[in-house]
Amino acid sequence: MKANKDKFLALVAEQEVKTSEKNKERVAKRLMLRASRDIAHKILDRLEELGWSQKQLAEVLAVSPQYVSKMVKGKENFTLETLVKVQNILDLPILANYYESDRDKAIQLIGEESTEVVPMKVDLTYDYVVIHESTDIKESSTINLKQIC
Amino acid sequence: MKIVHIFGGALYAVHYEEAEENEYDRLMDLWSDVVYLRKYLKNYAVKEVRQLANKISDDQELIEDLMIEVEEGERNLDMFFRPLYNSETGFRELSLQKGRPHQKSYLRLYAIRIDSDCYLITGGAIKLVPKMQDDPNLMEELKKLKAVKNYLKVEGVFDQDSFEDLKEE
Repeated sequence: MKANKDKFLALVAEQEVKTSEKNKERVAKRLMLRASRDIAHKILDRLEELGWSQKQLAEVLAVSPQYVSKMVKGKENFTLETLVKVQNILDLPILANYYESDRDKAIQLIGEESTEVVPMKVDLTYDYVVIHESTDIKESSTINLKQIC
Repeated sequence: MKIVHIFGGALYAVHYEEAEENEYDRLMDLWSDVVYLRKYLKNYAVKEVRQLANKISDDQELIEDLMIEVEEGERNLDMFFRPLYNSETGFRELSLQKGRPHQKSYLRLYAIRIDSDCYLITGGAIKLVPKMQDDPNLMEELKKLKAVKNYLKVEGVFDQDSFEDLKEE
């Protein structure tokens, strides 16, 4: 006996679902969604480091806990305003210019007048930032950027 | 339980009474949800949570791509789904099936084969253990597969072989 496909089709609801459209929409937004997931992981890692709850973050950001909950799911299309706020409050590098502005501050601190790009590696695993210089910088290679921000 | 049509004439999914969405939509949403993935992986004592969560989301994207290819007629679902039991050979209607985007993927879509290139998704899971029996989440998926198959049997959608198969399980 064969499976009775007609009987199967008779069981299918007439209701139209938007699954195909949703699938295509996710594919079209893929780059944004990947970036959003990456940011969500960064925020959650940082909250764990700080011992903060999502509710605390919501209070500091002056947004609803529901909004923070959406942010950390990794599906939110963040506004630039929100990203800058989160970045500053959590001291978390989200936008690329975060590195550039910190590098400028570091260059100013050590009296480097040259505008030449100074290659450096930034270790973000600690509360302070360690800069390993590869040029003729004579100062200490450890700079607490938090003190100068 | 409702059965909804997803793509072309090939793919259907179960929409369980207590669920907000059909199983395909629900799983795509879940497998790209950072909070859910981190919690799930931590429960399994995964060390590199972020790395594995990203892998899972990458695989979820592969499933999305595959479904678009199926919808556009570039691929068919028989290339994606395989019998759940490796011992099963030959063509069998209403066979329990598993689909994964690639051999090393942790993602599984579970389905019942209705006909050639025609499948009904009953659920899915992140499979981090070798056998379904080792994980209550996977056992729940097995239960769902069997319950849906039983429902189809009651509604008269079965053949003799698959009926025998159901009795054995």
